[in-house]
Amino acid sequence: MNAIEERIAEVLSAQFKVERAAIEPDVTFAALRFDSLVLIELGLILDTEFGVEIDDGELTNEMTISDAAELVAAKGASL
Amino acid sequence: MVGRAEAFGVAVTGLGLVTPAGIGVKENWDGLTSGVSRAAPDEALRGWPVDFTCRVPGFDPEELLGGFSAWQLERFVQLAIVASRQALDDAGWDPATWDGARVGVVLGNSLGGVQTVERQHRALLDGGPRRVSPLLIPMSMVNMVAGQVAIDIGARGPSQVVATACASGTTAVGTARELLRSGACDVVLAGGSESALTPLAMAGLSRMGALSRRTDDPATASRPFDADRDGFVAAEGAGVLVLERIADARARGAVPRAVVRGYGAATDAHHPTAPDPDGRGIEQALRAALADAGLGPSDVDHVNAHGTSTPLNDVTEGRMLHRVLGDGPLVTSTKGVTGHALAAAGAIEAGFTALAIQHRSVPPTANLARLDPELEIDVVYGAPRSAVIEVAVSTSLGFGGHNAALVLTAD
Repeated sequence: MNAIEERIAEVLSAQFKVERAAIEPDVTFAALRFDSLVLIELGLILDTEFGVEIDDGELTNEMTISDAAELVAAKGASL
Repeated sequence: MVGRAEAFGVAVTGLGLVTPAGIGVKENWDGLTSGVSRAAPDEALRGWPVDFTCRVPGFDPEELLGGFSAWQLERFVQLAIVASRQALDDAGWDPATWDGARVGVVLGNSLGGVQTVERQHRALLDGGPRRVSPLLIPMSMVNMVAGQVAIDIGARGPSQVVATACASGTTAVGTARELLRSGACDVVLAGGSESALTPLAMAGLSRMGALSRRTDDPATASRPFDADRDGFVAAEGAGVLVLERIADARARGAVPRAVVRGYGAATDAHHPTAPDPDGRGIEQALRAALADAGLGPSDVDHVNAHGTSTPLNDVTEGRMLHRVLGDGPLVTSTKGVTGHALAAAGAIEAGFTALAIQHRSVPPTANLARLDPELEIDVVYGAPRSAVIEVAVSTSLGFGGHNAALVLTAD
């Protein structure tokens, strides 16, 4: 995992209480049982975590953790 | 069979208890019979005028429900799911094998997800509307406790939350019995859940003057029917009963813990929070429950009283019990041990009443040292009292003037 993926993995584990073993770069949010509301919540937390602004609906449950990391990076994430 | 033939009894085939007395039926019974109060200083309320509560000891939602599932559920829902799973297990039901369309859920709650509301209100004030979680509403609505339990166990029959404040758990059992009587359901999970031990809710209860202020010795604060009582101790918890028609329970070989044979409800129409000074509403509810069961006042062997430890409730209720039932029944208030779990109390206490019938033993009222001299009822204290209990009553009174009573009998 790259640095952004690592930080997202840490958020999923620490704040959403997702089992660490289930968190892989290519796992989709659907596989993690994230619905649309939980994805909005994740967006809020990633906003704060990376100093970006993710719009509601930008994160979808077909996306992988790696896709989310790319989205955050494209928005100029500060690490 | 006790009571008139036409009285409609439903079997209590399973019980789930998650209370300050413990997690599990056996743990609760052991806790009750010990007669030791569970009130203790509460870290969340340090430095407050009332800084103690009764929490469920050792409740670990991540361990019991899984981290990600627990994260999406408010504590009042977590408690209810754990109690519901226990109750189904106790009843010998496996949700994989039943027709979920015939299973109902009726639960009581009063203050909903107040912890989430407080947290999100802070987020709103600090960061504006966009910082508010999309989970605020689904996590905090009172009905979610029934909705989430239904999801957890695959119950697709009617489900609802009933709200009669501190009588809600009792109302839920009475309402569930009607779903079985009408034939709408074959199995109903009935109960109540509450967890509102938050700074805001506790400040509100405290400002009403409802809470005990015995901060120097919290373990003696909940003392129902005692002459020196000064208020209730707020608690959290959940109680769930699996109810089935007696014939259905027998047909599948279930052994009922007890039978819910009568229910009555009435309203004071007097004051939002003070009970009717003569206890007319609770008297009407109790008489209606006995009539519903086809039983008379002299049949009652045991009362699990509402007995909150507030000055007004206990004298009003205690006088009413003597007026209606006389000297006979052994009265207890298990809130001496558990504190007052608001909307969950009636369901937890219906469970305790079933256990008293089963164990032929009335648990003691914790902290009762000197009975209120205004009262003439036989309150069990000090140690459990053995007794054959054929007929027992559980009473509940709620803010709003809601009164409800259940009659439970031995199978």
